[in-house]
Amino acid sequence: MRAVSAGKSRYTKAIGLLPVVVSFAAIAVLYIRGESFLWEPQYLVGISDTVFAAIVPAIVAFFAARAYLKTGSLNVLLMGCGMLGLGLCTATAGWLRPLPGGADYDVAIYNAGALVGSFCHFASAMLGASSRRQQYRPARRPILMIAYSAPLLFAVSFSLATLDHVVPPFFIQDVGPTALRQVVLGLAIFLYASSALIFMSSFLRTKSDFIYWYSLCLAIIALGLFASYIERIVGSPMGWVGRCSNYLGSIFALIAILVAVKSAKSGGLPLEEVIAGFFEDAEANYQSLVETASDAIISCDHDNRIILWNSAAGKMFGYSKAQTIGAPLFGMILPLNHENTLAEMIAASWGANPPKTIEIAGKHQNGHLFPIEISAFVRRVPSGQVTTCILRDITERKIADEALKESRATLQAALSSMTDAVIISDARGRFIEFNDAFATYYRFKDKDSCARTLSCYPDILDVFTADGLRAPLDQWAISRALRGERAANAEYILRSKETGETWVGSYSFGPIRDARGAIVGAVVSARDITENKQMEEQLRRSRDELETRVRERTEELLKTTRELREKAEIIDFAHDAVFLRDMDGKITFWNKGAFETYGFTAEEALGRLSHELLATELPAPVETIVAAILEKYEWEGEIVHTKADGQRIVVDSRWAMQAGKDGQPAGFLEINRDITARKVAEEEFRKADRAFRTLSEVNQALVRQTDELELLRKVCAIVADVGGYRLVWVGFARDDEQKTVEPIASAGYDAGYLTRARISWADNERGRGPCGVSIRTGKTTVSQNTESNPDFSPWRFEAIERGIASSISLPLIVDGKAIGALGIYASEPDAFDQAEAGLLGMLAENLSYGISSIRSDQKRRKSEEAVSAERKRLFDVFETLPPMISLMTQDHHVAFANRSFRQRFGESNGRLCYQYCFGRSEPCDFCQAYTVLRTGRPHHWELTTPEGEVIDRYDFPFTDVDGSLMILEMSIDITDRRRAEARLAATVSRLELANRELEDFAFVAAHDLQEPLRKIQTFTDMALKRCTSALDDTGRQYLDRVVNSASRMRQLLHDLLEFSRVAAKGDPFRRVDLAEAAREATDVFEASTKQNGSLIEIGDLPEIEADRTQMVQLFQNLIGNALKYSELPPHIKIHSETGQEGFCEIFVQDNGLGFEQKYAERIFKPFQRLHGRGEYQGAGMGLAVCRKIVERHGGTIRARSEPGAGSTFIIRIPLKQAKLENDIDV
Amino acid sequence: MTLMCDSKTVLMADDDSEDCILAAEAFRESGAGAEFFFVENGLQLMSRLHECACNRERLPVLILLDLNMPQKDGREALVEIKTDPALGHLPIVILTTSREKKDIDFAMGAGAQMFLTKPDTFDEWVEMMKSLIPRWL
Repeated sequence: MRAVSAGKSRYTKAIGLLPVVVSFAAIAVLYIRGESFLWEPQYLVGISDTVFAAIVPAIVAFFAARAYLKTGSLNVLLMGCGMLGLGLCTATAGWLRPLPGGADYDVAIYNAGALVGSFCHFASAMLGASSRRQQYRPARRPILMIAYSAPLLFAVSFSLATLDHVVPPFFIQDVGPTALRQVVLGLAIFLYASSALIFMSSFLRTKSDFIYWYSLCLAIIALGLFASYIERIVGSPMGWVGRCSNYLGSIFALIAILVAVKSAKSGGLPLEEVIAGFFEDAEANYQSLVETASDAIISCDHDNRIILWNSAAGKMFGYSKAQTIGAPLFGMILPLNHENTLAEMIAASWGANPPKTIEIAGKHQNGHLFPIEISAFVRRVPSGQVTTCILRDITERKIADEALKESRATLQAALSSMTDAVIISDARGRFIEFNDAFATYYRFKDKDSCARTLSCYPDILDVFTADGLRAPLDQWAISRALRGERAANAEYILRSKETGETWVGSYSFGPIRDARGAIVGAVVSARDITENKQMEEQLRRSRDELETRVRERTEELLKTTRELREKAEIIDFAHDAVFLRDMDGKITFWNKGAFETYGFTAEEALGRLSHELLATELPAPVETIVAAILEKYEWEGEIVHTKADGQRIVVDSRWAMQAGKDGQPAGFLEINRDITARKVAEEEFRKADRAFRTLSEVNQALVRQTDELELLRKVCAIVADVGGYRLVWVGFARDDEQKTVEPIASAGYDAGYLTRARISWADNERGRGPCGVSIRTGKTTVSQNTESNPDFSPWRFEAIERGIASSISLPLIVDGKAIGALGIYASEPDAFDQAEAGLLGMLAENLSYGISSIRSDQKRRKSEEAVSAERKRLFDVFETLPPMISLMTQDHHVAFANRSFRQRFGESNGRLCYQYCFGRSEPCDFCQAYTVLRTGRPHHWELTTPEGEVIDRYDFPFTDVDGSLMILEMSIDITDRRRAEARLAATVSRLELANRELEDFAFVAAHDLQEPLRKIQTFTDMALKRCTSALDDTGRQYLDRVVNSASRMRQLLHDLLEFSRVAAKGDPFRRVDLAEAAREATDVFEASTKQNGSLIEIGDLPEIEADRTQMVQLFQNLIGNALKYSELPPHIKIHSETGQEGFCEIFVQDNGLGFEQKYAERIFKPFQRLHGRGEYQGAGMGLAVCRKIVERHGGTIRARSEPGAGSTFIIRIPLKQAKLENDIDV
Repeated sequence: MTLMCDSKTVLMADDDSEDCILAAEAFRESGAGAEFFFVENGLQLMSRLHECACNRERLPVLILLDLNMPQKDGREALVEIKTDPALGHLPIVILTTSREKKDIDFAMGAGAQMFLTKPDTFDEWVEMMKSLIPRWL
């Protein structure tokens, strides 16, 4: 801040040396030449001393005083005192000079002042050299008062003392100075020179401008004093050189102050601080710089021990200076592992400008780590090296960076979800951001293949403005935005150079500006509006066509009008009627034109009263006209006259007053021109113009209106207002009994006419008016005169009452059918000639078109709304459904996800389905959802996610309201169900295994037990047969019991074997004719049935899928059972009934003993018998085997019985088996 | 005994020693004029037959074969014998405890001449043996 940088400043400083040199040279020359010329005008010295030696130093002293008060710098105070002391004394001396002996006074006071001043400056110089800043000295103001009053007091008291001759003489004019004076002045010179040298040396160190000028000031004062020292006569050239040098010294001091002011301004510091600061040395400056710096500054020695620690560092790290000086830098405030990082950074930034910085972590006293930015440099000192680090806490910057990153991510997400193409470009046309829609819009394959700078695009695209002109690159949206333009919906036409495809884009763009408002980029969004444009184009074409037709008609009309007007002008020229009448109105002159115009000859006219002859109709009361003529002497207007043949004509009439000889009014000259034809033409033109304006306004309304009723009202209003018709209305033909024409909209003067008119479109009295006819026939119908048209009679009275003289009715035809009519009533008869009717017809056609387009629009909108409402309802339902439901676009975006879906996978935030559902970067290879797009048919599949969940998925093709094809996906997490199923299957198979093992065991056991039993039987038998001699009766009895027991056991084992054989040794299921099986079963019992006369009836039995052997066994067991438990000759009936759901029921009914129903269940259990072993044979396994067989076939068996009333066994068995060949039990 | 040595032999293969005793007894009782030998398993049966064939001794006129035996069972032995051109002609009666249709089908399919289930009483044993005589002895 205080460094001298400008070359200009150096130049100025060099100039500053010049006066010193000149002054020195002048002294030398004058001394050698010994000039004794005297020039001392009275008071000049006083004035010049006051100005230069008192006022200027006073200013310096004033600034010095302020600086002292502010900073307490003694240097400044002493400088002020010095300037003040010398200044006051010099001025006093100057004013005393003219007194007798003034030379002595002058010299004495001046020199004493110099001595005082020199002391002060010298003291300041010494203080400056010791660089101590006395900042905390209290009571600055009193000290200042004392310090500044001291020179004042001195000057006053010394002056008085000199005037009283108390002071010994200093100077004797023409002789020279006394010894005293030489001592005083010599000392002052010495002190000034010394101070100058000290400050100059200080300047060489600090390069401070202020010190430079201050030291020059002291130097030149010293020179000036030296000149005085060697002068012999006050007022000699040498004396003036001394004085001038003194003055220059003051000026230099002022320059020093100005330098300080400038420096204070550029540095933004208070002036006082700056002045005081100049006296401070570099080290002190450095110290205060370090202390006041906002960055932490830390120095450390070669052992990385801290030797300097400023207050910002204390604030940043929480340690005080005392805690840190001597402490190691690393480990305390910087992490240990950063030592090398820092060393590398220092090595790398050697000589770099600006110095390199790195980001590392700093450690606060409370242990908290925070990011800091550090720069460091190394200084070599005698004791090794000193590393100084400047550290800055960048926590906030980091947070800001993070926030920036985050907002950028949000931006990207937003961009990617937008359907408009969006580009964000930097100031040089490079694309910083763009979205997927961008790629689509510019016909790129995907986002990655997009060109990323604007300059690439002229090779890819031709761009045209909306009016078809080629747009150079600088007219493109981005270029325009980068120039600061903003636009919304600017249209461009683009053509791909590669494919020639053309599309229209609507662009919105604008510049991006930084905080200072400079353009740093551009944002451009574009939307493909080709389709819209095409539609607009079509609409425009049809409108143009209409307008062309209207224009053609209008031009025709205009042409006619022009012709008529030309004709009228010719008439004007040829047929002006001129006549004179006197004050009474009597005609006194009648020209040929008048004859031609009116048909009256001059003879007929002359002498007649003109207003009687011509039946004049004036446009205003005659008095008004006369008054106007009397004032202006002429009058102009249109009047109506009646010709000789009774025809009324309109004439353009000019009246001029004729003055008589006496100057009094004598009569009027009237020049009339027949303008009837022109009037007619004008009227026709007016009407045509009106019709055209009506038509064009109606057309505009058609384009703008979207509501049918509004449109009809608007059109009625336009036709009534613009067209100037009395009443205009639109009626719709209703399909009710009376075929009413219901008024829908009207404008103009109605007064209840339409409600009372009760118009119909049926072919009856009220339907034969123009309106009814036009609806019935679909043709324009005119009633030229209300009064005379017989068809108009039902409404005549009402119409005349409302001033309706003629009417036209124009059918409104929508889709080839007249849906109603536009009725227009005029207040004059014959208002609707061919041309007007034609134009109105066109108007009605346009209106019909408008209605039909609004209706079809409405229909479309309604159906669209219905679809969207339906969709919304659908999605509302989806939202709450428990399965996960989502809607996916073809490019993997999730357009909709219901609550379940979101709960499972979270929000999509614009990410693609595979990205946020499964965290993948490309579509899932296992995904089958997109087959729906190919086939267009629903697809059901099962998905096992990477996490092992099983998801049941249904994908349906889904067409959105806008026609885009999407996939509606329903996902049900069936992981739990699948697990349960798997567990169940495992359990079942375990159970089946256990069961099979048990059955196998029973079979093997029964089988193997038979062997030893057979031996027991055989050998017992042998013992009984062969060893009869060795056995006594008892022994034989015992052996008999063994035989019996063995035999029973054999039966039991046999039955058990049979029982287990059912499951263990069954045959595969085949088709079995049950009737045949039953018959085979009865064969076994043939012998016994013949014997006891029992009867077995076999009815109709079905063919089923079963194990034939077992079916035979089933019937055998049941028949055997029935035969066994009977007292009467047994009668067994076997028949079947068709049961439910693929089952049949087989009944085996007997007339046996029966049993109590409560045993119906027990009898099917193995080894259960209802009778004692002695009564009936058997182990009680027969029915158990039956049940087992039936159950193996998936059926049931139950018994119904009553004691004594026989039993019925009911077998319910399936007709078909699930597994035919590979029976699991085999 | 000399008569019995006129080289007509019946060979029974059964691991059940009681059944062998019963069979031998019953055979004796039935009055058939042939020698009755038994072996304990299929292996022994086969070696005996091969031995006979090698030594040009007379082969047994009838083999009573049990199906369930250790080492080589009756099924294997049956198939082996019936497929051996030198032994295939030997009549084989299956004498076993099994009544399984499966076993019957197998044995008859493999070429056994008769399938008999071991009787429960000694009388039946004798009756059975007697029934064999007219056919093969």
